Amino acid sequence: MSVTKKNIYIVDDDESVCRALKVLLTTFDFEVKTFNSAQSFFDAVPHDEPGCLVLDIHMSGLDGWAAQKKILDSGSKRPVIFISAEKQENAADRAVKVGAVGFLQKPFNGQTLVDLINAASESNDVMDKMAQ
Amino acid sequence: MKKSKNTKIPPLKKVTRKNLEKKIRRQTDELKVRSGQLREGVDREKVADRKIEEQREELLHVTRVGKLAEFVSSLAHEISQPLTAILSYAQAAQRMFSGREPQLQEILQYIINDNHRATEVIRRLRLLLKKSKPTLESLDINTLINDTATLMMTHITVKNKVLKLHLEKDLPLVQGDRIQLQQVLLNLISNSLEAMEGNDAGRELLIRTSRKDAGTVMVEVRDAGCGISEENMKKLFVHFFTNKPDGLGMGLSISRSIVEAHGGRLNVKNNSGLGATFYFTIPVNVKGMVNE
Repeated sequence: MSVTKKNIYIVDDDESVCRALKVLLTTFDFEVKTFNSAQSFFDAVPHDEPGCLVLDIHMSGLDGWAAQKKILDSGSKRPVIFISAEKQENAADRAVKVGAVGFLQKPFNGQTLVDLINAASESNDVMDKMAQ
Repeated sequence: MKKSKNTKIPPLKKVTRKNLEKKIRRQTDELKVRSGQLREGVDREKVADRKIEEQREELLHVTRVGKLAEFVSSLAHEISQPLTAILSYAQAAQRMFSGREPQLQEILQYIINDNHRATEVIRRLRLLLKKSKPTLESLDINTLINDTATLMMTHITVKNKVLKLHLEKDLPLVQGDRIQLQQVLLNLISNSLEAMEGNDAGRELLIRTSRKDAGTVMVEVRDAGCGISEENMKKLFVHFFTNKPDGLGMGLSISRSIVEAHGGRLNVKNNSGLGATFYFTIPVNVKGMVNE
């Protein structure tokens, strides 16, 4: 009996961050896909495809905040976790306000990210069941 | 007509000479006044020039402070990216070899620990330059020094050094950002302790406050360490200059930026005896309230 692995999408314009987070999250048994821009993520992954998004804020083109707005506008319930190397005042508060699961300042502990992902997908599962 | 002409001529000569003398005196006086006015004008211009020079200098300081903040912020960002990758790789490897390869596990833990150390440096840097413009409040500099000394006391005792405070009473409140000024004090104190490291002859660290002039308070941090060579004296406040094996060369350059952003100056001089004295000025609060 194989359990379907949870999808994680990582969007970060820093390739080494993408690669390293993918290696790390794979050891936690997630199915990980990485994208170097928000646009390439939207091009490849439909809004209704399940999975948690780990989203960098500071990116050229569509930045993290704009990408999150696009997700919300589409009506998608995709859980989003913001990450950033930039120190932004009140980024954590702002992240929660715009409906994200949380915000992590880079560099962060892998376990902290995994805990957030798990919390996000659990609440999402509950919401899905309630909706049914 | 003739008569009157005859009677008038001699006195006219006298009058003319007198008048001439008077005229000369008057003109001399006028010249004196004009020359004085000119001198005043020149002085006024000199003052104006000096003011322009001061404003230009002030502008340069502000630009320098701003540039440093900008530089540190982008540096912190650029370093945080690879640090994120390194930490993630190390933690992934730890999980992959979980329960096996104890030596490898140990090495991975060292990588993670040093990653945390680098992250902490960045965090502190950011804290220091969180705002290039300080949030000014009315501060009692002596209280701030006392609080900072309390923070450092254990460290000072462990290093077998003695801290003395000569804080002038009734100093006016200063205009300052409490956290930033505390960072400056911490930096100067810890530098002084390091300068006295392994030097049993010099154990005393002295912090002194005084009123420099009506609008300025002076803080001096005097150590009895090895002093500063003439060569190093010039580079001391340059970013990334350090003569410590594990130093970053940022403490003093950041401290100077902070003090300058407050409208003060940070400098250093060698003592006539042992060691060196770092001293900085901070402007007095405009209201000039006197503390107890």
